[in-house]
Amino acid sequence: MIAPLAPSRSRASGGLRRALQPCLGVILALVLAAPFAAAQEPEWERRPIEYTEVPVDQWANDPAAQGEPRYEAVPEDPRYHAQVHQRFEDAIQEGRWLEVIEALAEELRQRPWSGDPGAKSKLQRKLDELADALGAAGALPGIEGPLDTDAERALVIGFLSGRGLGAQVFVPTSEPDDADMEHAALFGGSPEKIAFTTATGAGMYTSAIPPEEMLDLRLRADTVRWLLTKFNEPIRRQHVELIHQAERRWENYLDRGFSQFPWEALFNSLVLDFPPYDPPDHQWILLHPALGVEADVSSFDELRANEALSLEVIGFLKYRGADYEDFYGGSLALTVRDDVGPGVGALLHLKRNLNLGVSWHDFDDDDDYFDDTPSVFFSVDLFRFVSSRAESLQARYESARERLGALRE
Amino acid sequence: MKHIVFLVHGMGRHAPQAWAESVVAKLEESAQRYPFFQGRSLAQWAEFVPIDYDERITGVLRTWQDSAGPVSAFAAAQDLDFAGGLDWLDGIAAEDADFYWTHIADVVIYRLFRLYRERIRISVVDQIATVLAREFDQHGGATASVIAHSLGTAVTHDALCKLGGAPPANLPNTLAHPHWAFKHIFMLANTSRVLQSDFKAYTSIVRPGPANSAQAYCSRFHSFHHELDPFTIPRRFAPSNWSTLYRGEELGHFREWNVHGFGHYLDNPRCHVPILRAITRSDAITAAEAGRAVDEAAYPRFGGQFQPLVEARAKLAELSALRHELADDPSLPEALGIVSRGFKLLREIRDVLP
Repeated sequence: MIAPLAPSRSRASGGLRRALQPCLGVILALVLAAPFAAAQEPEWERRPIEYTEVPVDQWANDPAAQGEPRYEAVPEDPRYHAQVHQRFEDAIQEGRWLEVIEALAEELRQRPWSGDPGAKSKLQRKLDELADALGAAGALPGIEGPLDTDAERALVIGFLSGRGLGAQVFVPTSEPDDADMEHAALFGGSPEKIAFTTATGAGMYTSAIPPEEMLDLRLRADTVRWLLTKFNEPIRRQHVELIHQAERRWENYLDRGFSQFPWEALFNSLVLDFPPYDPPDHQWILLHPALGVEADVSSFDELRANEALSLEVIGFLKYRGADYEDFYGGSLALTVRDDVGPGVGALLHLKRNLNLGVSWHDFDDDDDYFDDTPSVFFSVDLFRFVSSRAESLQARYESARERLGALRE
Repeated sequence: MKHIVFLVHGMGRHAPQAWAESVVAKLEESAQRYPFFQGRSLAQWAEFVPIDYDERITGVLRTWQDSAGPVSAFAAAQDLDFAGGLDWLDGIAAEDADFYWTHIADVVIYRLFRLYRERIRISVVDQIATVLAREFDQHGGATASVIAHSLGTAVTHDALCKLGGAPPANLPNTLAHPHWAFKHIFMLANTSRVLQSDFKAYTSIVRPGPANSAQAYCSRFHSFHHELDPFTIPRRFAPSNWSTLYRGEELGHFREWNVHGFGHYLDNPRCHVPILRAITRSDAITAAEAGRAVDEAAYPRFGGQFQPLVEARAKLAELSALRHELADDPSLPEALGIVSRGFKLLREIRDVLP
């Protein structure tokens, strides 16, 4: 039912053959019995799946794992993509892709075909269609001569997409039948479909195409797939880099950005617009409580710091940097501490983890917040930074005051 | 070049790697039921790649918890009016948080918070694209499929809509039809319709179709639903006008109390046979073997944790049959014999019930 794809090279020496002769009767008996055994429970090794479904690169790179010595010839086959790449290396490097596809289409045209001519003509039509499309793309505005820039490739890929042409078209797919069997095909789901197998009952597959021509179809189709994938390479890399960048931006925006309480995240989810991949580059602050330190700075001599709670009533942040690694913004805030009534003020987000605000408390209880010296509100991080340098700041302040006094005298 | 099989987990806490190892172990164990796989590992054909997004959700909970903690403490110490107002956020990211925070919150966060939903989608897209890029660089192509479970089916659906949709910067998409596509997509406990938002499960590109169709993103699509899985009963995924490249299966087996579990779905031959075939070879499990595997004799409806139920039901049937053995006016020895056998059966039922 299934002939081998290619005669396997016999490595048995004459001596070995002589040694095997006594076993020939047994082998003959097994061969004669095989169809009956297969009818009962077909052996998987006897089915043609490995040359209809298995990726061509697996034939070439790992024939031993496939258990098929006949694949040993594939890496040197002129139809295999590595060989095609070598044969057309200059044209590929110089962006003369149309030339390569036209040459491959011509090679197929010249190939004698003993089986169903339909299979060959369908692949031929697809190759010609691809060559025509590449030719037509050459007339697009923005394309001049060989396709040697990324911008030109992007234009051509878009043009081919519009015509339903791309690498995936040349990948075999499978379809189920009513008997729970899968059938591989090329150009499945289109009028150009080339079915590789049919079912013959009892779970047996039969090749719909003679094995040599099956191998031919697979090698040629896979080479076109490989070439188109290679053609897409720089654009694919740009695409993947945009995805990586989006991931970095989201990480900076949500994981390292200004934290959001549930109600803020919900509000921002509702009101912000997003680009296709990236996070928004801004953020609203809404009723955001945080701890910090508030200091009365009427005099450096009497610097008093108090733990304080700020409630940013409403605010806005803008992210900056290629990956949104930093942000700035401001908010209107209330502050609460234990030694005085609540204060009102404004808070600036100077950069990541660095807030500085000013607030007014009604220290003298006259219902006028703004007749008292304001307090300064620090984020905890900024307070730690200032505290660690408090002594040197104090020394500089004293030294400046002394110099000013001396000048006055 | 191996077949890349992305595994996408569902809701709940998932220890990195460990959850995927248990899924692969379940597939390996299931494969051993068929002659083709005996003595072989699935690693011969496939590379399983876990896609994790659990940390993105736990990270959100942790941020809320950590932001609220000091504020709550300060408010309580100062005896402020709103002291206790944020206490509900205390402990929500803990390993032993209650079911609402470890499971339901995942769904709520994904469905209601567009910011976090987008972040999860891009994280999944990035994980997938990273592996695909590696495959393209090393092998000049990539063969990839997805097995997703529960919330992971919705996440997968949405992430693939992103990956296969229009990229920014006016780039053509070389990771979508007609340039590239997934081979198989398996959705176990498919929630993509319950949780759909901007991408609609029936009309998005995440459906099977020919490579020249811009409205398809895989060769084959399989969806599995358990008849008593509470997560898939509302808005069940069952498209009526998709091609034969789509297969929907309803499962009715009972092996453990959590009929929604990833492993519980995979245990059923109706689910794992197409998966094993897809990631190895179509003929790895023959139609005859598959038919035998799903036969009631080989794979009964009840088993595992439900085995006592089977035995109890059998004994209840015996008990019921005893009634018909009694004559209209039985003698005392006959009556005592029946009573004795009935009581023995009741004791046996008591012993088999957990």
